[in-house]
Amino acid sequence: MTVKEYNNAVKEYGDHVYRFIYRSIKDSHRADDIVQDTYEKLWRCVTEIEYAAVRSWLFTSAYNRMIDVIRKDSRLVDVDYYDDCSLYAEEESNDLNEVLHRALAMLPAVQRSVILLRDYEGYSYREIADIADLSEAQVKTYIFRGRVALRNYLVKTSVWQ
Amino acid sequence: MTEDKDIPRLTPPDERFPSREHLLRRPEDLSDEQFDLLAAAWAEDALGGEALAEMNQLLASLPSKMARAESFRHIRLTPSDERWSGTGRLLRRSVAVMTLRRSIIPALAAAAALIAFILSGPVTQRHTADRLPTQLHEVAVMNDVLIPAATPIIVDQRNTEVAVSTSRMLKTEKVTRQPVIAVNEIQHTVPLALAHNAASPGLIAALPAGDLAGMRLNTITTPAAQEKEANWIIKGVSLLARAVTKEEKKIDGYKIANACVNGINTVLGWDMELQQVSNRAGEPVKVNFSSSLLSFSAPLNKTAP
Repeated sequence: MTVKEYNNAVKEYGDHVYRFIYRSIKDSHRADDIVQDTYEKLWRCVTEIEYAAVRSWLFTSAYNRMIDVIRKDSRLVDVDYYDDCSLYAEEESNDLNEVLHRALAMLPAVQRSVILLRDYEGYSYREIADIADLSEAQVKTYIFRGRVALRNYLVKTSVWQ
Repeated sequence: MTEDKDIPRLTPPDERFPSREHLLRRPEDLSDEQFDLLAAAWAEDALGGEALAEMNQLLASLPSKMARAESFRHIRLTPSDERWSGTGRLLRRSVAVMTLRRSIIPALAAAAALIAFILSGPVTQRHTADRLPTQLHEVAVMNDVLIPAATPIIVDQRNTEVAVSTSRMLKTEKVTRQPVIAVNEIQHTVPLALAHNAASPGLIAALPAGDLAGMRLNTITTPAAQEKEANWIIKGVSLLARAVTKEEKKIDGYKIANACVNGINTVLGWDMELQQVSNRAGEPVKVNFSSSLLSFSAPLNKTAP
């Protein structure tokens, strides 16, 4: 990858990676640090990575860094399902996308990440599996269960009757 | 070796599971949770083969289930417009740009600073003094005039022969209504009309025209103006040196400039040269600067524009 391609990767994917991380951990400063670390790492091995693979590399690296940060913070809760009605209290807007993002924030980190990769970036199950170091079946399960949890949230908050 | 027929084998009996029919399930028997998971997969187009056919059959038979399954198609997150603020910080410059920024631009800047260092100061200030009417007024009433050797005053006077062409102190009195012209080698008391500036006549309009001697002046340097003409950079360095050492220091501008050039050569590996040229009396008259990009020669202590 050339310097020009590296800069293209910064301009083209910087916002995407940041958005993915920020929505996953809901902390703009940490998200900023993680994305910076990711690009610093990319720069260190810029000559070894093909530009065609840089997008996946960025998401994979940022995801792993994020998991490290979450583990350090002991905030990773390995829960398959979200089912806590007390969290429905802070209801403000009925805009579907906003409500969905609020619901997303209540999902377990891994589930949240795979849904973001799927919806924001349009990655295939196989690609998500590679990024998150999961099997394809696991990715599908996380996504389908995540969708059910999001739908349940909409129903319980009366956004959907 | 033992042959197969020698090993005794069990033959399965013909018993049947009596309540097998009770365990069979139809698609309609799926719980809501199970259906939702299937519906989520169906909405993602992740079902295939028999699973898809079975789901389609179920949805066709149960319209209420169809609406529920369709609702999963709307569970999609749309990216918000958050922007990452660190994009500019992480952009890298190419080797060519870095080379340009690290070597050529500083070298050009150093050369420009050097030119400014050499050319600014006395010459610039003198030009400014020549153009300002207030400065001219000061000249008109001054008592002492220092005439540099390089730029003699040429006095054009019909009645009295006056020719001053060497560098010496010219004594004049303040212009009066009854001027007395007395010319000798050292001191003169000459009422002069400064003809080099349009404003000059106005300054001496009160004098009788016949008492005035016409005069062309290239440059007159008064002691006060000469003091002002000191290079501002050298003055600054002198002040700094005086403040640090508490002693009066004489600063040589050429040495400073030469040290700058040598420093740039050391840092950037360039081959720039600054050379001072002196006259027979040992007084510096000009400096020559040469490099691969730029060469010039600048006179020192110029007294003429």
